[in-house]
Amino acid sequence: MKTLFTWSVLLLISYPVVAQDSTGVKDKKEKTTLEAGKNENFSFDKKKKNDVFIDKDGDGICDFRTKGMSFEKFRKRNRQGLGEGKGKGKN
Amino acid sequence: MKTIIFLFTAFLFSHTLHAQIEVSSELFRYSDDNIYNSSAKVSDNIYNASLNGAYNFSSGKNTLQLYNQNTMSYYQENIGTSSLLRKFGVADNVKFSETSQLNLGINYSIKNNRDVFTLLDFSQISAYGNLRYSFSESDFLTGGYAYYNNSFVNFSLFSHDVHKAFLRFNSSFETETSLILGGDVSAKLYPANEGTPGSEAYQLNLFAQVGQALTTNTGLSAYLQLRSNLSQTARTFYYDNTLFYQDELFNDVFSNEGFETGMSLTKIFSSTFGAKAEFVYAKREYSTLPALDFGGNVIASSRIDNQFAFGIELQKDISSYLRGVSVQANWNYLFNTSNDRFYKYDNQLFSIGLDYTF
Repeated sequence: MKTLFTWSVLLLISYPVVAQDSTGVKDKKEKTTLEAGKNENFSFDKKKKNDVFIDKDGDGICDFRTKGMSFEKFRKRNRQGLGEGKGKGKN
Repeated sequence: MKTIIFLFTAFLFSHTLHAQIEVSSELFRYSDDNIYNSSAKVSDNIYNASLNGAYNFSSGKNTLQLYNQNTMSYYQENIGTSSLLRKFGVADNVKFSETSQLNLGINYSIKNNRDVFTLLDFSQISAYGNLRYSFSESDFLTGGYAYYNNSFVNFSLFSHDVHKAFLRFNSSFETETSLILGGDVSAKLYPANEGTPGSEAYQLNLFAQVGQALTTNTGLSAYLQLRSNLSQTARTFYYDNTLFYQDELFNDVFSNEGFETGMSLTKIFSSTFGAKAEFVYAKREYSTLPALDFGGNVIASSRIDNQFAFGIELQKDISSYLRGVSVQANWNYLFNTSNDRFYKYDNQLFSIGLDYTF
């Protein structure tokens, strides 16, 4: 019984993979249309992201514009952590 | 048991695992005219090199990362101050839904110093967990807990544990204003050690930051941080007729209370070039550290510092010439006044470096 149950679950898990492989020509066409729609949504999302002001680091600049910049690195480096202290003991 | 293993294996094979490697490195040269931040004013050139690597496993709503970070600081003249810091960790991000996600992690760090400073070698085990809930695309609340075990391998008297619980709220408005409000409570626990009884300290931190876009590419930001010691403790030792405090040696946040406020102006000139200027003022009271004169005589029961700092940073992405590389240049100046003569100093720091991300 246990083995039967196990195989049933396994079959259920693997089913979507098999179904995807058996996509016919018609299905493929529909899939392409859907993907085009997805791309449209993506463009819309991108535009939306430009329009919505989101500033998670609080620097006053929309995160979308500072993506890739890393001004915070230097600040973090200056905030001395454990073992980075400068004091009498180090002289 | 067999069934569980079988199902788990089937689960693993039924999902597409996307593994991704991340590599980053930095190479910086610092010209520091006061490396110990004291009236002794010892200057040096410091070369900082770091190499970091991470391996990500993404599966559905879960992202698991294994990472390693290595940073070497080499002091040209004061070679004994050079150190090597290595960190190994695992971080996991679970997206429960579009609105909530969980971050979990554990890491292990080792810092090795040189010469006499090997006394201060330490290792750290840190574990954390935090939950983020988004009310909307621009508003979210994060709450969590972090644990640190700081172990001084050659000096167990200073070993301690830190527990920290925090809450932070981020919000952005249509007026192109952003707000960050946060707070945390930390506890530092010293265990009993060779006749020294165990002791503990508690600290409360409150933080507020407001950002405002002046133009599309210019942002102004201001913040205020308040730190209050709910209770304090200090561990000390005598060496060569000098009393050393753990808090002082490591510039520990538990050593002082007070406030810090600052303003910054960020300007993005193009998609590859940006600049930032920042001013910071901090007042700190060290109630467990007495203020001394140069003769070692106590002149006040508590050391009180006022610090002014100013900095400018330029950053240029040169990916069009060297893929993934950016150049950074910084100038920082700080002036510290204190009733302890040793801590009346100024410090000028120039740095230039390359940052590479693959």
